[in-house]
Amino acid sequence: MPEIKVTPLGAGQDVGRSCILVSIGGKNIMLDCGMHMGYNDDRRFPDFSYVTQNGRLTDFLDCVIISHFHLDHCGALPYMSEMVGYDGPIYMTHPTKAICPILLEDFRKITVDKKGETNFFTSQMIKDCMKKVVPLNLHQTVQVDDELEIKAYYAGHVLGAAMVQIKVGSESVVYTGDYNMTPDRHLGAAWIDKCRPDILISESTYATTIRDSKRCRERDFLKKVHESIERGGKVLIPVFALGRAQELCILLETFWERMNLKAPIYFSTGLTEKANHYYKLFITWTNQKIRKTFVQRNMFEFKHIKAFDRSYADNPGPMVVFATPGMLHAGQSLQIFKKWAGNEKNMVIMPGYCVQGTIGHKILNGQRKLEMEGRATLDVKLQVEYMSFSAHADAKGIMQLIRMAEPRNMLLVHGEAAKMEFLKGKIEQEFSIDCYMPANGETAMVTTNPSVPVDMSLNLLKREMALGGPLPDPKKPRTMHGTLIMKENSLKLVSSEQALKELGLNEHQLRFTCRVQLQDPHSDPDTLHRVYTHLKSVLKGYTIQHLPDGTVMVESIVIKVSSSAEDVNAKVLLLSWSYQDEDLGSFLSSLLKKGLPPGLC
Amino acid sequence: MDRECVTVLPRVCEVLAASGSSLPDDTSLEKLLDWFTMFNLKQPNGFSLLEAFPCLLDFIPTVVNNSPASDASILSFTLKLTGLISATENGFKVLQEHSLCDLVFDPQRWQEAGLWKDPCIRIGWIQGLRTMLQHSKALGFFVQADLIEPLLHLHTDTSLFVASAANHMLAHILLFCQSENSQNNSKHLTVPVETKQNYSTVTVKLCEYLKKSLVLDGTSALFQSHQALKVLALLLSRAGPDLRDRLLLTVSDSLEELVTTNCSQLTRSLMDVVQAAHRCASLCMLNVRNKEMLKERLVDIKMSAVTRVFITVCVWTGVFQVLQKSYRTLMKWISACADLSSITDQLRKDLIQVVGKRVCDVRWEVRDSTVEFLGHLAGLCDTSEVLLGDRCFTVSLLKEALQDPESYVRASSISALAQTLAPSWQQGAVELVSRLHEILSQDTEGFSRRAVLQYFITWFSLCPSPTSCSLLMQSMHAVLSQGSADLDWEVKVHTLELAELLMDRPGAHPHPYAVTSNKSDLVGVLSTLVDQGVFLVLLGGLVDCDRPVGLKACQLLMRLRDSVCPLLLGDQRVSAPDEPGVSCELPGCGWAQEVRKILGIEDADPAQKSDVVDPGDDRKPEQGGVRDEGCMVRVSVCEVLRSLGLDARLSVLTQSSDHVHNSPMSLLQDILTAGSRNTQLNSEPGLEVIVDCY
Repeated sequence: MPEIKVTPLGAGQDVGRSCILVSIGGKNIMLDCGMHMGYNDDRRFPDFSYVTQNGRLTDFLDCVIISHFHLDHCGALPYMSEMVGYDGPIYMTHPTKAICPILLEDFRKITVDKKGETNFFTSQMIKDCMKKVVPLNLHQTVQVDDELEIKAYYAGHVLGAAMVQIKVGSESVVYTGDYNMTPDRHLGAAWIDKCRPDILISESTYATTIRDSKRCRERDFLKKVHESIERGGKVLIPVFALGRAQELCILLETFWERMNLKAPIYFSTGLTEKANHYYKLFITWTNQKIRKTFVQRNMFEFKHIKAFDRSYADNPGPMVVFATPGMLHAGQSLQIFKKWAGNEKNMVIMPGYCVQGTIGHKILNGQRKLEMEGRATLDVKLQVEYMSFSAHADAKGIMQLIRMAEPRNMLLVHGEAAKMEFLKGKIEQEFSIDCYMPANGETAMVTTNPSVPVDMSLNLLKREMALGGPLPDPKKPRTMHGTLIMKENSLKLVSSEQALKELGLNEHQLRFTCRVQLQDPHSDPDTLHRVYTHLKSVLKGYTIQHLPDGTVMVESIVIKVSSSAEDVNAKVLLLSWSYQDEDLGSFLSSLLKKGLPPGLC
Repeated sequence: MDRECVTVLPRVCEVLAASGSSLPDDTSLEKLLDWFTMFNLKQPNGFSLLEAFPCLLDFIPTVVNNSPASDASILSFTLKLTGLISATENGFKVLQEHSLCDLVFDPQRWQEAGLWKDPCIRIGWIQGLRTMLQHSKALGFFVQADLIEPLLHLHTDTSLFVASAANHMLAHILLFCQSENSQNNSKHLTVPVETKQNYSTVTVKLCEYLKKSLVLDGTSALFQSHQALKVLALLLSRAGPDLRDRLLLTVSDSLEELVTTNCSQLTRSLMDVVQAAHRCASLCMLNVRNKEMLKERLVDIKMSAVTRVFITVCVWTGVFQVLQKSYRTLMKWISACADLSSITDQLRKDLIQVVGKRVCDVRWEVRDSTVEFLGHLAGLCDTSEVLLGDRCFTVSLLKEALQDPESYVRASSISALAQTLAPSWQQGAVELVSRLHEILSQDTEGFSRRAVLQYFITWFSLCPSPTSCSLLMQSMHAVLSQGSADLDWEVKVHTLELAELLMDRPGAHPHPYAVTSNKSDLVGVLSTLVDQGVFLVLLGGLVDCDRPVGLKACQLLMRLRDSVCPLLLGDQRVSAPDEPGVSCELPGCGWAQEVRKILGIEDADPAQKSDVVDPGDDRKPEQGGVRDEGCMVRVSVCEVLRSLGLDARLSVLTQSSDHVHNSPMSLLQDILTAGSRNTQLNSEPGLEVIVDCY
């Protein structure tokens, strides 16, 4: 039986970095190629030696598909393609292709800045990697090769995020990447066809959570910023260049406008300009509201948000600053943090997860005394807030997607084991389908039962009806004869005559003959009659005829008798049959070789 | 630092042993192991981890005996830790005095506890054993505890990670036995009979296992054969002659059989084995017929590569990947081509046509590769002219590409233009230089701005003397001031590299050890550097928030200090009598505030006058060699260079910017905090910090 294999190299029962291998219909596909920010060595990348030793990734993989631009989904891509070596196609949507290199470059700069690392991908490698990318449009089927096709669907989550359907023949898999089933301030909700894939591979970050409404979280965030500004404090929001930063910018911009606030908002890197350019360029990927109001006012033309200069950090009075990097581990955000940490009026809002080994991680864990360079200590007096704005589907959303796509099997990734276990139970109970949750390195195997659609000619159907049978009924299968022909990649069942005609062939008859020698002291006609009687008694339910021309016929099989000139008792039975009766013909020849039983009249 | 860690570690062990759930950060335990591994490596004479951290001896049994309740990741960590401790004979001895290796590495125990099904326990078990197998006593334990069978069982584990770890472990064991054997033989050591037996038992068992695994029977065996082939390839590439011959002798029949079954799924792995075997020149052990079969397959594969190369010659295709390869192939061919006369007029015409067309392609990928190609070609001076004719053709295409909407292309065209620079280049220069200034000050992308700086660096390197490159020298001030104010730290680093070139220019400053350094020369040199803005660029870089900028600036300032303002008898506050008294103006805002803080300009008592006299200036000196002139402050260059604390700064800047927070001590503290926070979270579930994307 054909089977589909899914092996996560990352995101199997964890939320580290996504990298999932799918093997379907003889094709090997890598879904996402993410990076783990928690390590400073090669462990940050998936170990591709599991895929293939000797770095021959191009030989093994048919394609790589990237779901969206977050680094835990695409951060290892230049390493894989330029350092390990992969020359095959990489697919991602247009916005992802535009934004992904910005983030990779941002990350490269932070990494090199921090460590002065040399064994890391370069700008040139990022560029060369991006040259291998084939952009995808939504809902457009792309033929990777003759058999493998992929199709992207809208996933919400971040600009350009996509779910992908992978299809080989009648087998298919859908991979969701990260998705969001509720529209947010600038993006719409995920949507997919009722495509009934063999496996739906879904993220499960919030597998057990029913997320409180996003509006509440936003109100909470704005309230905190406002309070801090009101008491003259400074607010630092460490971010990565793109994604959440834009969402928060929109939020603050509208709030400032509504409340007529005067305190300056700064964005510290030169990246906003480019980021906003892309948000404007890919307006069709945003939600309906933004698209509608686009003509009157572009959401991404920020009136209140200005470029930051490092000297502003010392200015008196309140301000809000977005600064990179997002985990306070180097560069500008860290420098500003050090300046502002000592004042309790100030506040830092961490809008994302921070890995161990960063100041972000420490302050989120509640550490208030930080050791600094040269044994100095930094007293953290400013307020520390964590605001999760990540747009993932919650348990309700995941169930909703299952209802939409109607998969035959479910497979959970990108979540914690215990939470997955809970959701798996719920899914199996509600939908009566199998749900898998392989750990990293483990393979989930799903046997598929591919149904191959076949067209049937009207003539053949009519002929069947003329033979007196009822019309075809799927519940009562019955045998019928026809010829299966393949034309223009589709299968058709037609009568053999029509098949000959359509394929432009002549009919040939193929007959098998066989000689059986036996001792039978009777005349030739008597022997033939004895053969007839014998077969009559052995073969019940077959048409057996003794014909006047001195032959016996069993279905299409003809039997004749002749005797040898030297010995009249030595008879030779000549058997001949058409290829359709090959089984019966072989059976008769072996039956007759055993001789005729005595006592036949 | 390690001493502090020793005092904190017992508490960390308590937290880990008591923790029923995993730590919120999944890297912490790995990093802890990294630290122990580093510690092990640094210790001479087998000083064991246990001697340094005695608390580990209690930690291991506490976690293992509490096993069903302990978190799987902490159990896995404990398995690996046990292996690490027992990697030294001392450590192993102490652990075995408490029967801890028996306890920890007993697979039966894990199976009965229902934990063996968790792949991270199986991986911990394999990796622990692998780390441990560094000495004969460990091997003795491995054989006597009968751990070979469970290991072989894991070789075909359902988890890719476990199976792969087992693979490496099998190779490790055989290589270990081999190296021990050969070491003992070469040193003529008398090895106990028991040890010898252990080596031989293990080697025989594993070789037989490999032989058996190679035989295909049924679909499940396919994976086993595959795995066996992987081990073989690993071993053959690393084994010494004895082990290699032994392996080949054992498995050659099975290998031949495998080749004849013609199982396509195994072809690649078979090829790896053959290649590894071939490298060690023992291919003769495979019979000729089968060798031929494999050769045929090799030829098939090579042919497809040849076809690909063939296609790449066709530059006219529109498929990007092919085009990219064609350019590379063409470049390789050109660089290797000794006789350029073989280039025909037709080829030249075609190439010009193709390049002209592709440089305007709608896809940025195609435009960029074409521009990069032009740049590479321009680097090969004569060849470029033979292929594309006059340099004007290339330059005009590249100038056009400076306007490209895609920054990658703009950057590539600037880099390519730098390749067209010639020492005496002037033609059309004014216009190009003003365009480059525009890019440096206005381009939104770092790539292009970085390329502009590199253009000037190349130009400067080619310039024989300042007088012959007047345009370049005129541009210097603007490039330095724009580049040092850039948002991109790499642009700033390049700006500092350019500043370095100015400092290094012949005659720019005397050699620090030169016997005669004329004072007026020094004054002249220093004044020029101040006038060109080099000094301010260095000062600004020193207080930059990005470490590489600070580091580069600090190094350059130190060089300047050491060569121009040498210290007298090492006294920081005393200047040499013949020191050049050059001063410069320090702005009052922006980065200069940081510098002022370091110099203590605002905080110093104005009444306290310094003895430093600036002979180059006739105005009255202020404190610290500084004159306050409203917003601007005039400072003595040498005084500033001595007061910045450059040596201390350098030692900080040469370290990673996260070295404090990524240190073992910081890690231990984080685990402690996470432990207490875990307890807090259990009582207040609302506090949960959800790990999500970044």
